Amino acid sequence: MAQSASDTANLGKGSSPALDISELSLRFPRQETPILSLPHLAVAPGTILGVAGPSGSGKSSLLYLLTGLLRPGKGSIHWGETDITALSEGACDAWRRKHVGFIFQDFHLIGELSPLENVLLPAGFHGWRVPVDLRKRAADLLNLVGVPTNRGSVTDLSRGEQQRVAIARALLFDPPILLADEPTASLDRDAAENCADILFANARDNHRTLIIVSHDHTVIDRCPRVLHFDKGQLLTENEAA
Amino acid sequence: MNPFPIVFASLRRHWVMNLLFVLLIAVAVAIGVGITAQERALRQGSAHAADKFDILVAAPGSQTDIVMNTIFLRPSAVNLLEGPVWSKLLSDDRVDFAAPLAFGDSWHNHSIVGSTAQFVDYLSGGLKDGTMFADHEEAVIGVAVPLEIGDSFEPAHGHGIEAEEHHHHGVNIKVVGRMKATGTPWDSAIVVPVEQVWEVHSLGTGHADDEDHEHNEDHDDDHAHDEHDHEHDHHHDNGASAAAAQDHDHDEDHGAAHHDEHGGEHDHAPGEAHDHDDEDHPDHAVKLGPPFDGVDLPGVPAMVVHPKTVAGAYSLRSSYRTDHSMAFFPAEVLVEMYEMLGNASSVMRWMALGTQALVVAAILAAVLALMQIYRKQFAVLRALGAPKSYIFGAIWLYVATLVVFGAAIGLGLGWAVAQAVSQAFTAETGMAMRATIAAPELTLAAGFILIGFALALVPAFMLYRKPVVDALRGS
Repeated sequence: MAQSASDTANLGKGSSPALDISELSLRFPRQETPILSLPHLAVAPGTILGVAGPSGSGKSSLLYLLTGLLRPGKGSIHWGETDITALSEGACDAWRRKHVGFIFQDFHLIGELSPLENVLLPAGFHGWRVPVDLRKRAADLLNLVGVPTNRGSVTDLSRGEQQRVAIARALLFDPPILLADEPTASLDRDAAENCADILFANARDNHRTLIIVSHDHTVIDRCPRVLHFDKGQLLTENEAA
Repeated sequence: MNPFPIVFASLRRHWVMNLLFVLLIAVAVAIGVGITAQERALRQGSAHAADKFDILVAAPGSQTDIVMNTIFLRPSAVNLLEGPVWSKLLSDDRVDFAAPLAFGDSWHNHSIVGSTAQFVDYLSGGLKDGTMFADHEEAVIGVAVPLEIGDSFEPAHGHGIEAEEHHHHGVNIKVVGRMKATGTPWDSAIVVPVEQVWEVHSLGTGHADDEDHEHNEDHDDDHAHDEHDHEHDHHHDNGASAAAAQDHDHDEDHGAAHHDEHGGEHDHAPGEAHDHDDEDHPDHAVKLGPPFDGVDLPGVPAMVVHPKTVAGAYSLRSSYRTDHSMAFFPAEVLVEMYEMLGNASSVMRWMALGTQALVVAAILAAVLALMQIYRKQFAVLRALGAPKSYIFGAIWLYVATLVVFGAAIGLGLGWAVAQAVSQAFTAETGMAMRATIAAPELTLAAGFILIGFALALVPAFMLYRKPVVDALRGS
């Protein structure tokens, strides 16, 4: 099945949905204390939201809940009109494919593929052949993040370059929601700043929602709105004036 | 959905392990393919070798021994068919032609078989080079005999080590012709006139005139030995006592269970008289082949009979099943041998299947272990939006690719091994064997692939069901 024309024609044209969380609670089986509890959270479209807190505070669990990879014990998560907690697994996969870009601390690139092939990997989720315009977009994204497209394998790249490839991969379908889990944790200072610049610029310039989990204060300090978690509870919420 | 980039990446990532998987599968498939291809090649080769032996008539005993002696030229002691019995066959109306087969001698492990020119023509469809034997001490050879036309050799009694100790000293047989290739063990045989075999073992000639002549010559020898400058006479003269001694030795070696024929004189096959024979034997012509009108015909190990009709074949088989003879279709004996072979190969095939099952199980276990390594990669793909079907398809395709490559290589490997074994067998026996890949082997490989496809669902389904977040947290 070839990539549908509408999939690529709508690239960059989707608007970010608002996030509305209500009475969210996540607990592991046989544990009385929830690992994450969030009575209410509303995030406007195009918000850059930082999530901070010590290890085990529930930051990553929040990201997984927001993408439907994890199902809460109770509560609801609305992205726009869609309550993703009510979607079936298949429907949630389809929603995530269409709306979410994900960036990991360890990049999780496929070492045997080139940077361009890695960026185009999500295209294989949709169709058999990669449309020419999508291939061009992948090359443009690599140029945007400053990674040469002619490298044979991503293993030839520096860690900073690899994370930038991962960012390009997350941006392939220009998702309205971008989630980043410790995107700079394994990078040196310069590379970290460079990657953060790309993420923030994309969110600001394209009015995309960016939720970024990080221990890195230089990253968190750049977020207009920051949630501080500890032991699964939202402790404080800072919002730039 | 296109999971091939992930499949190819997975194949490249652990290429040594994947190569090992492919080789294991290839060996498992090759064992099964090799056994079936080799078994069929053996059946076809042996059936072809028996093509020209419509009916065999021999003294009562083991039919298998007769088949092994006559068709496959594997010497063993057999009872002799009495002269009156086999000579009757020659004049039987139901017989197109019949020829005696007399074994026992060899040259460098090449069986020397006494028979008739008619049999040679029938067996090989004519000569490739040279002429048909027209004298007692002439021979035609199979294509695989390392002699040239014009070469001479000294036959030995028996085969192998025994033969090296029992040369027929003073007997020199000249190669005059070479048979066309038959693709049977007879390509390694040396065929001489049956009279030569009888003669060298001092058992008469099978021809009345020759026996009279021989008697006269013996008589003459007492008086004028030096006057005869004749090859035949020479060894016969030598044999006045030596032949008797040879016979004596022979009887000691084989008891009563071996052919020993003694030929008298050369006989020209019709129209094949040698000029030099006429010159050397102004008083008589060399007689070879039927009619055998000797008074006391020697026994022969077997007669090969070509009937005129199919009905005649069955009638002959019935007529010659008596207290003094047995008649049978070699094909029937081969079928019995195939059944035994089939039972053995059936056991081997089951063992091969067991091996294949073990290999598949081992690979499956290894793939499941490997999937734990891939688990996080697939969880990341899910987080990036890959549907479960994509993950399922990628894992299934990965295992299926290993199975298909392994089976394809195994098919080729099995064929190559069977071919090599066939060639070695051909070199050993002279029986042309050609291992081929046919429906049974393709079915076996296809069956293996289908089972592999089915089993590939196991890791695909297991990983498909793994919680994504558990794998993502597991870094």
